[in-house]
Amino acid sequence: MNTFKISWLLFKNNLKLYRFYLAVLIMTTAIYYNFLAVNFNPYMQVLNEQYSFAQVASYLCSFILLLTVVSFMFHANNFFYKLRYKEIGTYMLMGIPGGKIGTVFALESVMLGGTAIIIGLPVGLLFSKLFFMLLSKAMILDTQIPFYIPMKAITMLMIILGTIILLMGLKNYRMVRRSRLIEILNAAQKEQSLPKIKWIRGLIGVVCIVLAYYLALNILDLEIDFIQATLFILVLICSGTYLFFGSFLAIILNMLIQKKKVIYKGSRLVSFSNTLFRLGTHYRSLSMTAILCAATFTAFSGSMALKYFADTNTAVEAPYSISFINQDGATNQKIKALIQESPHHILAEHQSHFITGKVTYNNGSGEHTETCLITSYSEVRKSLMVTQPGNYRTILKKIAPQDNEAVSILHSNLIFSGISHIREVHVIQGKPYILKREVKIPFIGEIEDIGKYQTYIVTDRQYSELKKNISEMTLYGINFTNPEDSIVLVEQIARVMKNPRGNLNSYAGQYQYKYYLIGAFYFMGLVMAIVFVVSTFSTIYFKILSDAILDREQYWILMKIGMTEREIAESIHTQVGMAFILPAVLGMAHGIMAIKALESFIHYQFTESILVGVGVLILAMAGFYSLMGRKYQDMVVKGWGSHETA
Amino acid sequence: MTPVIDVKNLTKLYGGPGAVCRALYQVNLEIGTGEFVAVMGPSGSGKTTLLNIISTIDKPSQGQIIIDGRETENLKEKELALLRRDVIGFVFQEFNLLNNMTIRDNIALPLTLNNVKTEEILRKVQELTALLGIDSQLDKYPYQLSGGQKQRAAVCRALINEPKILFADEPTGALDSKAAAELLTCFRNVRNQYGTTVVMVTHDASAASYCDRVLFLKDGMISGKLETNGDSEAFFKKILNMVALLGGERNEHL
Repeated sequence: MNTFKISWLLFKNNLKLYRFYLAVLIMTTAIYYNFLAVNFNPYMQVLNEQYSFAQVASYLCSFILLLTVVSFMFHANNFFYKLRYKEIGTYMLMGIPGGKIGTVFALESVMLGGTAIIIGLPVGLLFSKLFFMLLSKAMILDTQIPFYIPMKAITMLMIILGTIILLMGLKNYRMVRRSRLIEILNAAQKEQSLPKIKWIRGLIGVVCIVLAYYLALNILDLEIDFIQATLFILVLICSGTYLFFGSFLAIILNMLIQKKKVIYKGSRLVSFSNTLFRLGTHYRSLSMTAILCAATFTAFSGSMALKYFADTNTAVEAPYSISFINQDGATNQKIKALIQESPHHILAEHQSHFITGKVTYNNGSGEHTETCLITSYSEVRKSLMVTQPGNYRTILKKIAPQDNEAVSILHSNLIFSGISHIREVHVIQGKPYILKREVKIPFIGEIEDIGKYQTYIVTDRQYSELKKNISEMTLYGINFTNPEDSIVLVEQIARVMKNPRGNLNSYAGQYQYKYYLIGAFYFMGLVMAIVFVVSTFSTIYFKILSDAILDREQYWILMKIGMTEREIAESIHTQVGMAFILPAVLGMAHGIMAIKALESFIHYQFTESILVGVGVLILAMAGFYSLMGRKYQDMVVKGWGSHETA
Repeated sequence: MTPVIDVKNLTKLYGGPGAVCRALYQVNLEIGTGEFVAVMGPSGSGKTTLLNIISTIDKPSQGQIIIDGRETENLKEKELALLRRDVIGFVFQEFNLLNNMTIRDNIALPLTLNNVKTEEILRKVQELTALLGIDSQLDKYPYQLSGGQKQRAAVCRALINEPKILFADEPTGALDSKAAAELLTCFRNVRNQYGTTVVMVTHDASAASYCDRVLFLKDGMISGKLETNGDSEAFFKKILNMVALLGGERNEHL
């Protein structure tokens, strides 16, 4: 029989062993294809240009995803290699040359990877139809995104996964070639030892994580370049997590195990000792799980935050159902008449007054003067009483300025700003004011001619002084019923107005535009969250599975010396729990910091999104934890019966 | 003497219809409190099966086993586990110590499961390891000890709960002759000091000569018994002769 046939035979015989691994590989390939397809889809590339933060997030995610695939494949490959180590010894004993065994094993792993691509790619193509259907739904598009197969994505997938599979084949060949028969035969007697306690590495790990958190929370004040800072934080978080599980956790567990009063209780001794002992080999998968967990959380909560942002920012961009400036009394009457004739009913009318002026401040590269809008605190208060955004009373308290202070309303279409000017001196119309706060609240909205300017709020007294000799401008705002469906009415109103492009703003227009952009990222974020959750769970799955195989005999000993099934279950659940809870808690903490950093850039509070993210992740983890705990327990307890009768 | 182990008509069958393998057949056995008994026999004679069943690790196909006055057949899984924990101690050929714990923690384990006070656990560990001469190795891990030390640690773990019965499956199998002699002396001391019943499965005639009584198993049945009169050397010779008579074992071992 030639080498190829032997490999094929072995591959077929071992399919049962590879079943789960193959299923995960197929799914990973399918999802990875879709991810590449999104990246290479010309439609998506347009979106990428719109938001630099989303672009950074997308690149980071794809980078982490690729790392995940590679690490997961090598992790599983090593697991199977260890499982079949003795088999290699048997072939060697039979007199088959190492080179031939190596080739057989290499070919077998290539066949496995090849099968994953052959099945995974069509699955991915099929899934991509569904993917884009859901995507267009999320974006409230009238027309669907056409089914498009980017050849570039397929080629790239083939190249990347093909290279990984070939490398893995080569690795397997080398591993077999380098193994000596005597080592394989002695492998059973070789015992694992405890991880070494490395204080310095452990402390560096904690310092890395703390520093990364500090940077993430103070990213605006430190005035660092966004992309550089993000990459730096990512490197700090990854290496910090790696060192945390590699060294710091070993230090903590070792200290706990020394405390006999804590550890000599029920099955704690077994669980804690096992976890510490396995850290030597498992810290990589624990760090990987934590990082994946962070990615899952960030993707999920991030997209929730984007949706929340889209919903609330529409109100900031369009404070009223319809608003306009620079119209004469006759036009105003025509507009009102049009609304009254339409199916919409007028709910409120309001007029906001302000002036245009000049502001000078240091924008980071020197003194800078620009046009701005100036209004009084009373005007803002009256306007907020009409528009009533969530917690507007608290906002009003926070923004009340003193005579020497000003508060800036960031212009409504500013989504992302890397610099804050709070506490800096701003010279408005020649008078210096200290900037008390930067807020995003509904006031002027996205009116083309003036919406791009910042609005500065000063006290009523200051405002009446500043507006001397300047003609005051008025924004007319009208609220009516069902503003989302008022696009026809808005078009009718535009026809009777002077310069509607520059002077008119409507909720209906902003609402559609917003969803068109944000909806896409909301959906992609959710898909990324699913990708990461699958990767997280499969990493944990293999870790737990290999633990169960390694620990099985130990639990049999414990049962022999009288540990009850209930105690075994307790011990297993504590041990499996630690494999879940530690990476999950650290991962969630990483994720919360990421969303906090996003908050400071977008000038929004995403507390609700964070809480929903934490809740959903805890629920998913708890479900998977109970499944894995039971599987582990079954492997031990059922194995005990067959082990004893064998 | 009241028997602490009472086995009546024990039969163990393996396999399904058409391919039944009889591991034990109609075995009757009584072992009294404080006795030191060896079970010998050729490979496949059913020694380990007998030990596993008496020690409640395995279940009999037929027959009755009474341990410390309790019929094991009527006990639930949890009760069996508690019986193993409180009444029985185990020593295995491969030591079966947990590599991820220090010797101290390995020995303390059965007591921690019973939620005994930490001070009490530490005191008992110290006392027992001093008796078996490994009290200087308490903070080491099993892989840092010699075979003999490991086996003595395993004996300490088996004895920490003050069990009434100690089962040992080929305890000297992985030890050199000096370590084996030390271990068997330990068993004797334990029996003398605590009145523990010791039941040991062994291939080794010299190990069996440390016991009060030797049972010989062949094809799943008890086919011979020997009792010591206090003279170890004469007892050893008698055992060798019995082994030769039953066949196989002497050559097998040599």
